[in-house]
Amino acid sequence: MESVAIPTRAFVNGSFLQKFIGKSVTLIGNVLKVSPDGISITMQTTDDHVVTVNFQEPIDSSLDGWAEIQGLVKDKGTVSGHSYYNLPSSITDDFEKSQFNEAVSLIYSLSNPLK
Amino acid sequence: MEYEKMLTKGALKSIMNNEDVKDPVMQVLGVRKITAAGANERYRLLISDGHNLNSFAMLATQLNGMVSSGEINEFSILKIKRHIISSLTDRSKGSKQVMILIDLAVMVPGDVVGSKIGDPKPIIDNSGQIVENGASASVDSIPQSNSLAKPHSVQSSIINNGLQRDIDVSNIHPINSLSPYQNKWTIRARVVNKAPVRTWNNQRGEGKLFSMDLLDESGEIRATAFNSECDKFFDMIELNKVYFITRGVIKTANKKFSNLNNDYELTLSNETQIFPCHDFDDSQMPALKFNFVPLNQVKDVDVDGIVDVIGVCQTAGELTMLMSKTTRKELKKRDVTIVDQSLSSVTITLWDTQAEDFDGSLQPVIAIKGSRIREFMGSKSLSLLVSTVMQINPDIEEAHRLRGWYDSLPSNAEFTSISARSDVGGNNQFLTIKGAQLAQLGSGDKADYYSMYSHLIFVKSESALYKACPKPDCQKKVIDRNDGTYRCEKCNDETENFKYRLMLSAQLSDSTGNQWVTMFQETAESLLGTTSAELGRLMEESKEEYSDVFQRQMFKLFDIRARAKMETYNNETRLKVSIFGIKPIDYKVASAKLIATIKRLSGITTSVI
Repeated sequence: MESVAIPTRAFVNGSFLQKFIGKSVTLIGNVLKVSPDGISITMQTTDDHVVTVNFQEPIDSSLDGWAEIQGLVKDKGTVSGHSYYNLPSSITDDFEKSQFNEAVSLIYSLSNPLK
Repeated sequence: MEYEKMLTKGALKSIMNNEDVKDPVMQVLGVRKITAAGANERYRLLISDGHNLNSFAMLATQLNGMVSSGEINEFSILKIKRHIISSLTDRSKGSKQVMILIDLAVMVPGDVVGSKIGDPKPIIDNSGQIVENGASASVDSIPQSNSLAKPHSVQSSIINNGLQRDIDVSNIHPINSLSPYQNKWTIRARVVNKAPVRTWNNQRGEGKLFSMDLLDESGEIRATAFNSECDKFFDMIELNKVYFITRGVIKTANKKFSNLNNDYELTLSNETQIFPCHDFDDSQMPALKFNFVPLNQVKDVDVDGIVDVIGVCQTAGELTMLMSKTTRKELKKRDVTIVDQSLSSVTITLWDTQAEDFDGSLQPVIAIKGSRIREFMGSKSLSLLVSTVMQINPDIEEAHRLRGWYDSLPSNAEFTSISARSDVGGNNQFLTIKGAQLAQLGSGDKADYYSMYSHLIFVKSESALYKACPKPDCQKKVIDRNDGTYRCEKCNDETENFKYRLMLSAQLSDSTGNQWVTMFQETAESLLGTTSAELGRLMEESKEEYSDVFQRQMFKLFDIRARAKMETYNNETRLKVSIFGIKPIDYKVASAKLIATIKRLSGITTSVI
């Protein structure tokens, strides 16, 4: 069987955006506001940065709570969004933000021994 | 030459004639290692007083270190502070006088002296003519006459009379000086433990025995009495009393049954005499000696090792009854958990009367001498043996210290349990699938236990259930006779019904690899969240629902406890990994654990944020 390499997603939080400008990332945040035209959202990341995500097309305006978005980092506070996923409350009610932040920091401060 | 003046000339001859020479100074002319029966090695020295030399000088085993460290070597000049003369019987040569050196000091190292002093000549062995000194005559004459091999029955009556008249109190040997090279000795010792009479019955016959632990200022020794000696002495020996004991067989101790600090043990023979010691200051004699091991070190002691522990009884379990599989006897047991300053806790199993009588409600301090370490499912606990001594609130320093410590302890203090079977178990290793394979877990004699986080990726659902014997305590697969009856080979019985039991063959996966595992009844039921009976019903009635039960758990991440062991089946040996604990992962606990592990392995000690 031929194996297909799936590109790994780069999970980040707000403070890592600066280091990923021009790169594709996955960001988790709590949706604060969806713009009236549905093109952009503002969300609060796990380390309490406020980030604006701009999409090409209007998104579902009922987006609420925690969401995972993928996109290209424009600057430290802006991401150009490709896709989004509204995380169900069943898995985010008890979400430990500090553990997520710590895991993100570890990922980028240590080399991956499995690569 | 000045060294020559140091030697106590003529001392050897006097000593061999049982004369008292205070602190004689001798030169070592040779050291030879001899291997005695048993594993103990001893050193035989050739010593000279300048006039004579004696090649039958044995170094007491506790001084062996002085030779191995090089402290005693050829030409060393020694001051002999304590020694005993013993007659050794050798069939070919008759009896020999052996000098055993118990305590000595090196005055001049051998490499400083550098040569033999004087021209010493061997002593003519005149063991038959040794002059006995007054009071001990009747005792001391026994070894000599005994070596002539007269019938025992005649001898023992003489011994009895002789000894009862006058025990040679002036010639008491310290326990640590006893060795198989002596055959006349008297010890004065306290009985610090007396085990009940036990009987045995095997191919070689039946018999009974009891053992006791003896203690004096110098050390301790286990004494065992068999059959007629058991009858003779058992009733007269009282715990904590002091006795004179003379004659008996000294042999290498079997450390499997005793943790006393002595390489030898004593077997009472038909020549042994025991007398109570009355006119003696009781307080001089030490009481029971413990050699306490902190509880956090118990996990490092090998299984079946014997240790002394002390701790505060934190909790005491209920008295439970169980049936011994081998003897079919009913046993009573109670598990007690003790803690100590190492902030560790250990479970101790008490049996029978000790289990019945134990009252843990006041959280007493428990001191235990000689309990055996046992291992079950990867955790260690202690079990009391017949020879174990247990003291409740003993009046010893350690006990008072523990009491004070425990009483001032905050109520929320946490202890690490060495006996726990959960995740916090002391020797429970957390591994990846590949890590467990690389560590070759299960390839040893014993099963290895570990835990891991992995995904369930496949279950052979079609062969998950088997038809088992319906009897409550039987799990044997039955043979379907295709006539409506089922046969159990184990019970040798045929029945019209059966019960379903689970045996899952499943595959687990994590980022490092895959592992085939087996899950039995209880574990499989907890994984599937249903009973094997219900699953059996679904299998017969609704294949779809049946397979849904398995599908629901597929690809989930689980917190798993595994047991790895090499097993041979049909001449084929392979690693078998069985799961005895599987539960949905608690992500918070798991990620905290993984973050802590990553930090530990990568050397990041503080938070990186």
